[in-house]
Formats: sequence, C-alpha cells, structure tokens
Amino acid sequence: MDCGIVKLDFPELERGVTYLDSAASSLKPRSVIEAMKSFMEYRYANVHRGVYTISMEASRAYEGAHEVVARFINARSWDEVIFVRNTTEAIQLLALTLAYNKVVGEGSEVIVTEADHHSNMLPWVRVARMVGAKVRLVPVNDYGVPRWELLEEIVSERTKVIAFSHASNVTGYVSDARRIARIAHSVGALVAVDGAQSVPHMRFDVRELEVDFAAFSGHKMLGPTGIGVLWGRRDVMESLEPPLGGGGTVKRVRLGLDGVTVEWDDLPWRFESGTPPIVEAVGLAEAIRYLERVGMENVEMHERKLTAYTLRRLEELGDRIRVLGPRDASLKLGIVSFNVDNIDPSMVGLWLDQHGIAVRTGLHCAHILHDKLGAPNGSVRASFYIYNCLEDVDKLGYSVEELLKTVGR
Amino acid sequence: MLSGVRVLAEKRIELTKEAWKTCTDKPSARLMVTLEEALSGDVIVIVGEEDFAPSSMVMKLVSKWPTEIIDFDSDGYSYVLKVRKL
Repeated sequence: MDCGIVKLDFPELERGVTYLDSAASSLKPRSVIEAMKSFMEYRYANVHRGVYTISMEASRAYEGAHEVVARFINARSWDEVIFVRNTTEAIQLLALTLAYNKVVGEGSEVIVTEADHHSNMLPWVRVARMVGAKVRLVPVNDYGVPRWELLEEIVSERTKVIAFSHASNVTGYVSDARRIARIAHSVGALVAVDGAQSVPHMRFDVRELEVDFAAFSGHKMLGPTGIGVLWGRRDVMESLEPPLGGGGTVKRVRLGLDGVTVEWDDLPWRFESGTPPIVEAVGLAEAIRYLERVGMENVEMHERKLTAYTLRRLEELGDRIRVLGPRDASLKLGIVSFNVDNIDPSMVGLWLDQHGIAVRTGLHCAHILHDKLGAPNGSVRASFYIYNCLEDVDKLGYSVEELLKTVGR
Repeated sequence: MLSGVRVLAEKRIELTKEAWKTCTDKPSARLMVTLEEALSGDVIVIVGEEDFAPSSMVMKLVSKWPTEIIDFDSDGYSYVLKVRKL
C-alpha cells in the first residue's frame, strides 16, 4: 500500500492539513463523494414504499449496501445487518432491545470495562438502572488495558451480556474478542462488541471472533456521517421484538377485540424504524469497496507501522512526554494518546493546529479511563488511517519538539 | 451608538485550570475563536497559568494572528498578557 498514492484520493488533504484525527472521523475519498452525489442526482427515491422504477432501484441499492456490509464482516446473511445512525445509536438500540425483551432483567448483570467509550458504557448503565440489573466493570491496569484475566472471576450465571470496546479509542489497545466471547458463552451470556475503532482498521470477522453483536459507524471508515451498523446473530435477533416501532417495522397492524395487534416485519426491517439513511448506505457501501481494494490486512499493517514510529518519535522527545496506554505497537491499532508535562492537552492541540496538524484533545468520551490513567484533563490523541504516511508522524514529532523548546524546562 | 462609530472591545480569556470546567469547554478553543473574531483594535486580555498554558507558548500562538503584545505581567506562576488585534 502506497500512502502517498492513497492521499491523492482524498480531496480534503489538498488543503495541506496533516489529518491525525481519524479515530473521531475519517476523511472521504472521491469515490464515496461521487457515489453519493450521483445517487442523489439520478437515482434517489424513498425505499420499500414505491411501485415505481426509481424507488425499486433505490431499494435495490439500499438492500445491496446491507450485502456489502455483511460480506465485509463475514456475516452469515445480509439481513443480520441493521442500519442505524452511528455506533452510539446501535449500542443504544441493542441495550434497549435486550431490556425490552427481558434478556437483561431484574437481578441480572451486564459486564463492561473501565476503558470503554461512553457510548458503550452509558447505554448499559442506564438500561441496567431501568430494569434493576447490575453493571460490573472490568478494571484496567496502569496502561489502561482491561484486566481480562479477571473476567472468569467476574462472570457468573447472572451475567447476560458482556459489552466492550474492541479497540480502545484512547490507547488503541485491541482486546481479544474471541477469548472474551468463549468465556461469556460458557455462562450463557451474549457478547456485544463496540467495533467503532476496530472495524475500520483491521479484518473483522464476526464468525471468527464468535461474537453475537457488533456495532460500528460509517463515518470512521471513509463513509458518510448518519449511518452506523448494528450486526446481530440471526438466531438471536429473530426472537427479539424491536423497542422502537413505527413506519417500516411491521408487516401488518390490526385493530381487533384486544386492541392494536402488530405483526413485526422480517429482519432487518423490524429494527430500522422510519425512513432509513438511504444515500448514506450507498456511500458506506462505496467506502467498503474502497477499503476492500486496499485490503484490510494492508490497512492494519500500515497503521501498526505508523503507531510504532509515533511511539518511537515521542519517546525520543524525553520524559516530558507521557504516552497513555501500552508502548508495544503490536497490541494497538493506529491510536497514540499522549500528554506534554504541565501543558493542558487542548493548548497542545491548538499549538499543533497552528502547525497544520489536526488532532483531538480532551477526554475522548472516556472519562473514567482518563481518571484511572491519572490524566483527568484528558490527552492529545493522534490517530491514523490509510492516507497518513511516516512524514505526517515526523511533522507531529517536530511540532511537539518545537513546543518543548519554546516552553523550556 | 452613533452610526459608523465602533467601540473598541476588550475581551478576556482565562487559560487556567479553574476555567476548564467540562469536557466540551476548552479554553484553547475560546482563545482561538476570540483571536479569529476580534476586530482590528480590539484588546484581548489573557489570564493564564504557567503550568496549564505556558506564557511562552501562548505568546507564540498569539503571534500567528495579526496582533501586538501591549503588556505582560507575571508572578512566575500566573500571568496577564494583553494583546491588540491589528
């Protein structure tokens, strides 16, 4: 993979910015922009409701996007793929569904980790409170890595769900999803993976990982905002009633002697209430085709190289730089969070912006993890994708070095 | 106010630990927006702490915008920096 060639496909880079904020949202290649533009110009109509040609074409494009996603994550069938707005909404939908169907109920337990993004943690905390269940947290070690070795002590027959961020959005650490799934299944619990930071950056095979649910966002994987995916094992999802009813979710609604009765639609439609993200689905499918052309193994290898180089560059700058998370790049995807001694992360972010580098600063929706890492004001996060090259890391290194020289000891 | 006459404004920014309240409230963003939006002649008073936003760093950042430093007072821990937008 030649990142220099890849860069040419991303028009936003023509502004000259060094974009190191892909964990927040990725840039979009021309092919995605063009696919969405062309669809809106010539093929757009609402799906599933029209008996006219354009609506049928739009329906085929929308359903085809489910197939593309299913292939990308090696799902058993396209109807295991549910389109929602983003990862956050996917996890909310899953948590509500399991509570609504009493899979998570009074006296049961859900396990999350102290390292999780709020989008994985808060839906389960809130659902647990609503139904009288308990949330148990896997603690983290000094590097912010979940102490999965404790999992077998934490799970019990009360455990109904283990939900975790596959790759940390702060440290980049990748948890062993298959091992976690096997422990969960040994007590009859379901496993839900927040794949927001892993699906875009590595080969993600739901069957190989043996998980039950996965959530991820289109906008972090070269696609548009406004579309995310909840994937769920068909045999599990089929038995569940959706918590959100409305247009597009039913086969038939009747008024009988017992009041309103509902016959829910098949998967995935019963979980996609209202007019879905049609144009966004077309964009996501195109983004996946782009990633498939690059090859996910190449994506992962490239990002690990950038991560290892970043860790080395920052280490060279001395003890005024503190990296959060493991130092071993083989344990991480393309995320490196750090702090500069005695300087607020957001000020470092402003400094880097003035040097043409876009990074994210703050608590990255992982407050508990930052507290545990002794960084209550947050961190500076550099995150990579296929359009970043080693010279981008050098630029980051030089700019931080200049900052250290400016402020002195 | 008379038509066509603009009163020069003085804007105050705190780059201190106390000013950092929530995860979405970033003093650096306020500094950037204030520098962007200030009109020629406006004075910006920056109250900062050396172990949060070192003055040497802030002066260099401020110099990226068309500004001049008109006053700097420091006790070694906290400082007040006054700049005028040109």
